[in-house]
Amino acid sequence: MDPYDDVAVTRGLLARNDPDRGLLVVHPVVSTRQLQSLAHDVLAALGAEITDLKAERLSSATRGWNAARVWVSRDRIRQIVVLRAHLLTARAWTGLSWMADLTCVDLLLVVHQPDVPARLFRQIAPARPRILTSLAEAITAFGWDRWPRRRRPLLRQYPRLPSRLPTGSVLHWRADVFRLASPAFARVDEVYGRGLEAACQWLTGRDQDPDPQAGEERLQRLLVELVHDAPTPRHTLTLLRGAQAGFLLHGFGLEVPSLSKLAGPGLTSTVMTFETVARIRAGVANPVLAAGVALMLLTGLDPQVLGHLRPSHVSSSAHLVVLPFMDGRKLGFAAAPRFTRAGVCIGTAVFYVPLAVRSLIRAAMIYHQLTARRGNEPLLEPLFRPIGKVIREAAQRCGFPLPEHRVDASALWHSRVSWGWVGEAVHRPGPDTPRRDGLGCLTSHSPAENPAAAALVHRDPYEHVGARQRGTPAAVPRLLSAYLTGSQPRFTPPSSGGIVPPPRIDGQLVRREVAVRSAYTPPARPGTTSRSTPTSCSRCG
Amino acid sequence: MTTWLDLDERDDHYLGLPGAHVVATESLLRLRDNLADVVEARAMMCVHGDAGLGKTLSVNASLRALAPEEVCRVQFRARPTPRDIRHVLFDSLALGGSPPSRPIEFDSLLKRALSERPRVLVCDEAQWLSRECFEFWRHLWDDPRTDIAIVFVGGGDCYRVLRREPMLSSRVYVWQEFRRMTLEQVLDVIPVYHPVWAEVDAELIAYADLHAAHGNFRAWSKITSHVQTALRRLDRGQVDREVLQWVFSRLGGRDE
Repeated sequence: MDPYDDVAVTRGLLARNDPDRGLLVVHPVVSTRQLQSLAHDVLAALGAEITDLKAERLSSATRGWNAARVWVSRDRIRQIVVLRAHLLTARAWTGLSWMADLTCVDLLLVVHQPDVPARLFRQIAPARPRILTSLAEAITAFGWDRWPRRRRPLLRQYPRLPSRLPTGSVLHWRADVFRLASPAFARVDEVYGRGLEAACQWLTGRDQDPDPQAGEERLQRLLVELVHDAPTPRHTLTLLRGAQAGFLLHGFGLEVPSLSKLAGPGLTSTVMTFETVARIRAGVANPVLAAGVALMLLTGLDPQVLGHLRPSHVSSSAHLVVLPFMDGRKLGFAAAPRFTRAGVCIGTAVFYVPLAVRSLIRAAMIYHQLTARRGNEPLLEPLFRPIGKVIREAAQRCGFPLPEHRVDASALWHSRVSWGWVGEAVHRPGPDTPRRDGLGCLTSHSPAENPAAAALVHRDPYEHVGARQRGTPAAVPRLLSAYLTGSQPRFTPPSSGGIVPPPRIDGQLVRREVAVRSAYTPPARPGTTSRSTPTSCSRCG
Repeated sequence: MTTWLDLDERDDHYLGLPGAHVVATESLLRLRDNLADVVEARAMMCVHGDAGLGKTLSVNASLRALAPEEVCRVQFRARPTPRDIRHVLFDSLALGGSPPSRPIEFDSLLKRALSERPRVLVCDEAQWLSRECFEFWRHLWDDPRTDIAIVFVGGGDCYRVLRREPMLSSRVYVWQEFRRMTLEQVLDVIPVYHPVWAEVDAELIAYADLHAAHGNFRAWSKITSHVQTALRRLDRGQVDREVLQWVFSRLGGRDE
């Protein structure tokens, strides 16, 4: 009760509007259509700037209340304070109580006159309302100021990298960095070590039976999760070179295409922080559209491609989005070299959804369930057409710069990665291997301590050729072998298409062992010629 | 569209009377002090009084001196609705594009504009506003983002109307009533108000006030305008009783 309509009560409550604490203070606008406008008021209290309800497909009362319900639920709102409650119409009260029932939030209605209007009292009487007579009493009763704020995990920090980094093969990339960017080597090497560590952890934790084809999605997941928060493409390159080194140490070749002309996570994507998500929430009220903007930013894809995203493409915990490649023509891709049959899914691109964005994706899924005619109809497109234009406009409202180039799924770097066995793993699990915190594998030792760690010096004269074959790139074992023995690598000139055919004896593929110079000598295995292994990683020893 | 800043000071005067001066009456000086406090506190103020006592002129003249860049003056037709106020504000604030169609969108746009820099909204003829309209003003003013002071200017009923609304009566920082000038005030003010009265005998000014102006500034403005015409037509250089009687005949005033 605010019998004298005191400005201190209104302003005191408005100042406490804090969705992060679970408290929402709704300040209804003056409107003759309260059923609709109150839903929009709830959205506004949640932080959204309501500027174009028609474009957001939120004009109707049903959609407005559904969106409000979804956000209130997702934001874990505990209590909703409604100012000017004495002016609420019966219909507006119906919408409000419906939402409150479904989301299990408490309602605090503020009546700014001496008595509760009879019609309002009739409506709220069954709930046996408790009557508070002052703001101070409400503050004491609910203890809003003591409600904890939502804790947000800190983002991984990255050191600043030199403006230019080598782009060569993993075999000599680290040595190139040491040579070309010597003062910044430690910073680059820290990032490189993160990639290497992630690869080692992934390889030691996976199933023992490596099946590169089946593991393609898992590999993509590893890589996009690794680079999802990389602030620049240089960080992405460094992380990927580190991961490639980790794969090599475990006897696998990880083939990553040249990143210079490709797109995708870590290259054309935006680092999604809680601040980024807050900007999206401030500019977009529709949960599905907010998710669309977030997906455009985190995938770096043209929003047109996202029009085909279905709920089944999102993992249950919303941490992954698996976008299938389908027929290029059908999806309107500019180029789709890997697509051969119309309408058939022949590949997938996996995207890691950072923690900050998951609430947006989950909200979109719930809203989709509430409003879609069919369960698995596309998430965005039936509601928003043309999807590309709508998402771009929404992103502009949020103040995000639009991508300069339209990126389709065929340009995603991580859909082109592959891996295969190249030789014996040189990392072996050791029971009592000491580990230096935060460092892994080769980066456990500085170049001064272990020059071998930074001495991958030979440059592959055919590196620009790029092995596009699946399976073992033929050049890798030879290069490694040549480097390790200190001899000059001998290459067969590339055949047509630039692919060096792997050596075969009696029709059988001959694989050479990988060996790296190191102080540690593993136990000799019958029939192997490896002479040394690299220094330890945290998992393998 | 003409904005408040485009208006010449002369336009503040009734009929745009040439040669008229803004005279620092006691009410105007008090208003200027009050407005300075209200603008500084981003508060609400109500200026009320009978028609023609110089409320609007005083508010305009004071704000022109105090905060010329911040003033946004809104005036309505009779019985405006919140929708009318939204549209008038949209025009007064010179917001681009077409006005939004839904209240929440409109208010969101207005609040954003009103949060960009401090503003003083002058709502003239406030006695015509309904409860919903006052609720709308309150909504804008209460919003923590907006940075506005609101000055309600209204006729005789304004005080009663605003006092009736607890939402406003608890929020209005300063109430100021404009009253008719007393004869002493008239004798002080009118010779300074316009050059035609500068050399006129005080008895003659008192005669005009008693029979036609009744301490009302707008009436004095009207009389002055007619006096200028009379002097021209009667080919006189100075106001005398004959000139005044010619003026009274046009005003419907009584002869002696």
